[in-house]
Amino acid sequence: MVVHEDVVCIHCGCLCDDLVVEVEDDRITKVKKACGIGRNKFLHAQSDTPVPSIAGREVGVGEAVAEAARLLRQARNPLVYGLSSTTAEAQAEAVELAELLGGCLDNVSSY
Amino acid sequence: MLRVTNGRVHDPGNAVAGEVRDVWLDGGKVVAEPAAEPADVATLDAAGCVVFPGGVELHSHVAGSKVNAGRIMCPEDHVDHYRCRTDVTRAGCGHTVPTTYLTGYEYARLGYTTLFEAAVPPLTARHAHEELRDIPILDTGCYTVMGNNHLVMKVLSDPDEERRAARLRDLVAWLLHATRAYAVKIVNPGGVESWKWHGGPVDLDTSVPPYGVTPRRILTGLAAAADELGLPHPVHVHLNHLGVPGNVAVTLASMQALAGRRAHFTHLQFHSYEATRSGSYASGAPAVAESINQHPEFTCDVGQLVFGPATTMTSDAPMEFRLHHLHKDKWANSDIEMESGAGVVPMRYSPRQLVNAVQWCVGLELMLLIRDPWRVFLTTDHPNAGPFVAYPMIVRLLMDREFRREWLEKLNPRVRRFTTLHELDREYTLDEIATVTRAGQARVLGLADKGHLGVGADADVAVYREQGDRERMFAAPAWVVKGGEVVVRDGEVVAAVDGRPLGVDLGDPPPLAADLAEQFESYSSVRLANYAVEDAYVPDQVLIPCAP
Amino acid sequence: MIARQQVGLATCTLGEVKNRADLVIFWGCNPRESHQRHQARYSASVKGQFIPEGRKGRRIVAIDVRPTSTTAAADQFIQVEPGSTFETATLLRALVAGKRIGIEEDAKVGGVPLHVWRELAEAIKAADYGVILFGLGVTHDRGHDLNVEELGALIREVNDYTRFYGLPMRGHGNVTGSNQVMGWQTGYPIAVNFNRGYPRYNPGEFSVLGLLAREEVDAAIIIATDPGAHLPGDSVAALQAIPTIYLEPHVNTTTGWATVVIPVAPAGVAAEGTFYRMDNVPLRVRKLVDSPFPSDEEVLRSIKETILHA
Ligand SMILES: [Zn+2]
Repeated sequence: MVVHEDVVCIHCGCLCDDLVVEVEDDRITKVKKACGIGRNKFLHAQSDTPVPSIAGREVGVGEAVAEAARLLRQARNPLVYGLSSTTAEAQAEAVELAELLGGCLDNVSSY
Repeated sequence: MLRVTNGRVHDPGNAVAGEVRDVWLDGGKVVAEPAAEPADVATLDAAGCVVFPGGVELHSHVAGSKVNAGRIMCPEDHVDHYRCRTDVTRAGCGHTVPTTYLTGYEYARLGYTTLFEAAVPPLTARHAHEELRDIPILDTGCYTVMGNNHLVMKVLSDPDEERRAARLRDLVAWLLHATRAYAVKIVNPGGVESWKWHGGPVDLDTSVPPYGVTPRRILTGLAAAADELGLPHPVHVHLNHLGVPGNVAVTLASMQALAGRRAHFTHLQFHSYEATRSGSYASGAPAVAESINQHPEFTCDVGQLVFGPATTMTSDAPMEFRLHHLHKDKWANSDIEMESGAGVVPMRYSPRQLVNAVQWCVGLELMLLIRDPWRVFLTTDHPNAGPFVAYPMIVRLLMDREFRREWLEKLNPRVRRFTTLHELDREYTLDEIATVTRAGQARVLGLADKGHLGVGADADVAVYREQGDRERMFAAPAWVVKGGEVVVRDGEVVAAVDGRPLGVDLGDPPPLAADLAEQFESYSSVRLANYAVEDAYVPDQVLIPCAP
Repeated sequence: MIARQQVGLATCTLGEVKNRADLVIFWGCNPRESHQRHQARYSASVKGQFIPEGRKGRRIVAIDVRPTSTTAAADQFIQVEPGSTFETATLLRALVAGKRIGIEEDAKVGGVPLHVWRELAEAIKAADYGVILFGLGVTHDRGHDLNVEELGALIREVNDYTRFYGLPMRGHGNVTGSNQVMGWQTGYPIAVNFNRGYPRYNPGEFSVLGLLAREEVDAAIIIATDPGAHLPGDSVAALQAIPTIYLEPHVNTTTGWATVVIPVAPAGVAAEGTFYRMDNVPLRVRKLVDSPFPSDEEVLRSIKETILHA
């Protein structure tokens, strides 16, 4: 078992950074100090995982990425949107994608 | 291998003053002329050009929380200044507060290849590094603000002089390492903390709550710590009373307090005002310049005013609040726990405004009255006194007294009563320009491989076409080479290489002392374990050695 | 966001609230439900450097349209009528400035007697370090950005008397980071259009609601956000009518209808990187476990590279 101390919670804008997370066999088994919602978020982080799919048909990640690129490239005015629960590093990639596509870019704080 | 040939080389660090000679570049470095003509060599024919080392910016605000607050607050700054994405460059916009990518391109387009962000609070250091990583082409670093830091002030409140000095030295090393920064910055020592307590502006000997230390002790203590650690750059000081008439008194007193120690005084223009009888602005530049002239241990940068739009942004929160009151424009502020503050106020400087005209003259007076170009540097404290894109025009003002006279005619005529600029005839030489825009900065930064073109220097070169109009000459280099690669041709970016992060080699500094760690855990909003900036934010950081 | 561009915002980090704030006003927010450890860590019961008594050392005021657990735990609950944020903030500005106001002493503003506002204005001026923490009840009340602008003006003006700041209670995960990253890369925190090759900004015109309402976008990539939970129904319907690509670590309603679903490693659990706290303090979130899937960052980079090399 590995115990991670001072873990940053990813649930809300508080970013409480004192969580203790226990991991066994690559599964999160225990979360201490977090609020109820935060704890659930960590405990359920590895369940309910979707499968990569195109129009409901299961595919590999590579195929899904290729289809994503194709759809975005052929769009006249694509929208890049969301970005709430991901890293700044991913957000930066999203900005560049919008720029490359010549499309629109927005997050959840515009309304 | 790259050869820059036929150009007049201005390399003041190696006493080369406009001689026609070749500069050879290989493996990212300046190399000796090969004995035999190498097989694989590209040549830049710099006939009719001057060849300078790449420009070095030692004080600018280009990355981090307060800069981004300025960008977000001022969309009107961006609409008319934009660049489209190209095959080699990212899109961007902004004039006084450009986006990170545009910042890199615009600096490179002026021949600059090294850049320092001048004020980073430790708590938001990750943010500064994230933005610096997104500034292309230039090698970058940043300074950590410490002049209102609680741990620093707590250590300084120790009455035992010897223990105080030793503990402060360890703390400074720890803070610099935790923030992956390059130098110690002091902003309005004690003044920002005082403001949080509703205190007025502080003088050198004002006791500042809650630890009862004085700005004098903060200044001298941190200067000594930087010296003892042998940091490549001395303390970088933004003095008390920025922008206030009569502040020449605290400026001179602070210099007196630091006499005998290395210190860099930043944006001195903002700190060199006499007060008129009615409490308005008059130039204090002659006295301040004289003080710098007399103290070879000091350097300074000028913070030259540029007429037009600016965005003031400093860690000097009380000063920004005062500005906001004067102009009744937008004001953003952020008090930062246990460390610092920050303020942002957009501005427009006008030549008809007597105050702005005096400020404009004061900056040029300092540049012309300080005799040693190795100790005074050209900055606009971007974007506080104006945007850095005005550098070519300022170079012309320094090199061309006729041009200066034309400008003086456009100012509020009363400015002659309060300044001495109209009496100054000095014109800078190209060598002096090379010194105040790169060689001097590199030297005071302790960057042995920057700011010159000797063998072993970084292969950072700027080539400008000789023209009588120095503004046009310096606005569009024929070529800029960074790390041996041509990045700018005829003033346009042709390759956007990555810059490298610059830091200092502190070895393994001792951990934070137990009492300070306890104080931190009690009163910070983050855990100590989550405070220090991780390696991922400064990939392959180049560490410059200390010389304790 | 727009309000911040009109007047700027005077703010502070959460540690300053903890260490210094002797007056905390929760306005239109209910942290005891939405940000459950906020009060214990930063804003109410926590012991701060200059508030050593913790909860006893602070006066807590809650302003809301209905009672909540936050208003119940406050020293004072000011129950206002919906739609009154702008009006009451304006009144507070006038009272703080000592201006004569042309209303009767026994009148009500926002459903609250004038004397209550008068006392609050006095408390604000008397505080050593006051903070307004505001939430959706302010930003989504009638007036929207104008409310924040008015609160911002109040906060600015109180600084003539004492230190006084405002902090938006930002919601999910790293919304703050998305504003920051867009800020440094495009110059604007929201609503950017690259149709002309450079960033243009126009909230309304280029924000997601307007774009979808006018059917101006013909494909969308949605990252780390559930439109079903964030957007109104007609916007979701507009998204369902175009090809959509969805990067998401968990099954939800949107994974049911998105054209392309790409599962990702959850950020801060199976992928590391930077999150920005509601007060703009950046922290590093960690990778605690392995995921069979790549991170958002990696997927977005692959898409970009596929397009670049197509
Ligand atoms: Zn500065």
